[in-house]
Amino acid sequence: MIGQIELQDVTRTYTQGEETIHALHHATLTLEPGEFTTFYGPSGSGKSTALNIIGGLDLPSSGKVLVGDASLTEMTRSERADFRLHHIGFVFQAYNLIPVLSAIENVEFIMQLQGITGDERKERAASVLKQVGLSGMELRRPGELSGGQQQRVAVARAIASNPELVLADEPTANLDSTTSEALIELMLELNETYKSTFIFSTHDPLVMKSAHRLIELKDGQIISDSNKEVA
Amino acid sequence: MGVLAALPLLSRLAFRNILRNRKRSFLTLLAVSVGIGSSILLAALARGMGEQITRDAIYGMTGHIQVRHASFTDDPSIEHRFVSDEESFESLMQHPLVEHAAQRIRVPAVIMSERESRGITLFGISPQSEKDFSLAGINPNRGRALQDSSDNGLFIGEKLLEKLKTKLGRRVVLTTQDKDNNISDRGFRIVGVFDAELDSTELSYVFTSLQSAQTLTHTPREISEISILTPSLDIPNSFITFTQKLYPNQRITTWKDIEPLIVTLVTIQNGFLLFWFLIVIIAIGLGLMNSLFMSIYERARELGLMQALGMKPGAIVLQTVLESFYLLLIGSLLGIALGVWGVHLLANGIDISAFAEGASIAGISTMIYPALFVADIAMLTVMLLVLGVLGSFYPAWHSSHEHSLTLIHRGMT
Repeated sequence: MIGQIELQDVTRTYTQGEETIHALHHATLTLEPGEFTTFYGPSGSGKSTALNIIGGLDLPSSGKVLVGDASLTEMTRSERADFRLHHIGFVFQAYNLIPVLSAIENVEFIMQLQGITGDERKERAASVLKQVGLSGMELRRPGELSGGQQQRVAVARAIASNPELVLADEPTANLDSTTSEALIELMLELNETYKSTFIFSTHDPLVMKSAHRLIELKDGQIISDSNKEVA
Repeated sequence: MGVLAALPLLSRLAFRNILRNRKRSFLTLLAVSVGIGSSILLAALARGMGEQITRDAIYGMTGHIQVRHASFTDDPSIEHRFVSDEESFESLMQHPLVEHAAQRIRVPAVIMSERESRGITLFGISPQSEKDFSLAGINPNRGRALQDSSDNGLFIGEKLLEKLKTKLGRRVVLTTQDKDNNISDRGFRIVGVFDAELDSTELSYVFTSLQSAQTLTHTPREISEISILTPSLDIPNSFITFTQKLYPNQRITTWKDIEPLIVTLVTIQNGFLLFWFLIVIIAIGLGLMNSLFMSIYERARELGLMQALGMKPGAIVLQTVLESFYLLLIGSLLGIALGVWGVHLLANGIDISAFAEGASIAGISTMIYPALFVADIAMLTVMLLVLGVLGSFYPAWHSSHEHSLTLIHRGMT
């Protein structure tokens, strides 16, 4: 288990021309293992930046990011890639899949990089695709799947290797409400079953309704942090 | 998991990416295969020309190796002769590397007809020794060949006959210096006319029998050279040593010493070919790099996604390099097939006489027969694969060292 996730006084600034933008401003936060958390707030509030920093896709300009015992800020690029490969599952907003690979190959992708052998990998990928309701569509390429089906393949890929942490950046943004609901149900189930930590960034009220913990961001600052179960 | 362990996955991605943009891949393959194919054809023609020049010299009157008086190369006059030792010659003929050997008189002379005169090289030959060996043993175009070592006839080239404004069957006078440096001349009847590959040969070589030449130069039982034909252009040192032992007072010279111009020509040709290969490969490499940059730019988001999912930068590099390697490999194979096919089509030779009239005067045949060398194909292919793959490292490195988020966002715009 990767354990607690800690953001210690994290700031991420970008420069745009002469203007300095604080995408994240002195954010301090602790996320417990197994939480189902959502970052929400208006566009440009820093939700995606927070997710990217937690996932090691981006580095803070200052501050520290600890995931369990590991300090992401002190890792090399290659070490962070390795850490993501073995501990984190990602679901992005759109264009989540590798177009030249079929649905099952996309799901197998991470497991193949992890070195899981052929038969076990295929079995697990087929089983997860079945779990997300895509049985029979294993050999379809992303171009032959609808947006909702593509997102489900992405979720299948994110969970197939049983990661301790799943980061989902606006996963329902391009989906209709029925598909969104089904996807959230699925992720709640996985959270319940595998005790994986799920962190979302979203505008979607459906996701927010399902989350156990809601963290509101505005102009890169955490302005509220509420735990529904506690409340 | 090491990058190499991901090779099956990376290979699959590389292949599918090649198939993904078929038009671009087809154009890249076309450029590679045409480049390789044309280079193979050009190399075969150049090699063919080089071989032809060497063969013309070897089977002209040079042979692979010659036994000469030590000073003959610098001053090829009758002064520099040596006594023909039949015992040594017999031993030489017994050596397994000797395919043919011929003893000759070779002297500069002047030939005069009733109308014209020209400087020539006179050869005194034993017709039987020259058969299937040298120009002196070829069948006449007109008249007859020399028949034995005492034949008093003269065997000359068609071009010389024309220049002398004389005819077959007429008498001409040969003038040369004898062993005592006195002028010696004698009338000969033209008994045969030959047609050689090169005009220069037809104009300058005149043959009579060994005895007639010895009589003319007052050198009975003496010769200027022994020319030897071996199975290959590369003559083993052991054979040179053997020959030197048989003729301890003479100089043993190889065709490379006798025909330095040909050696230089072939060396320059090799350098030119290498230079041409490099130019072709650099041009292909630049085209490939451009194609890879385009391909990577189009797949920016995908590459960013792979990095985000945990693919290491080394694996991203390897994936791009593999894509280039496969394109180069397939293109090279197609190019080799194209080149070999081209060589096959030109197997009967190309006649360049229409636009290279001076070629034969320069010692180059006007018919070029392509000669395919596996070493050229191998060198070209290896150079292309190595330099092409090295060249593709730059776009590959570029793709792997851009930030995954930058790539993802670029792909979204």
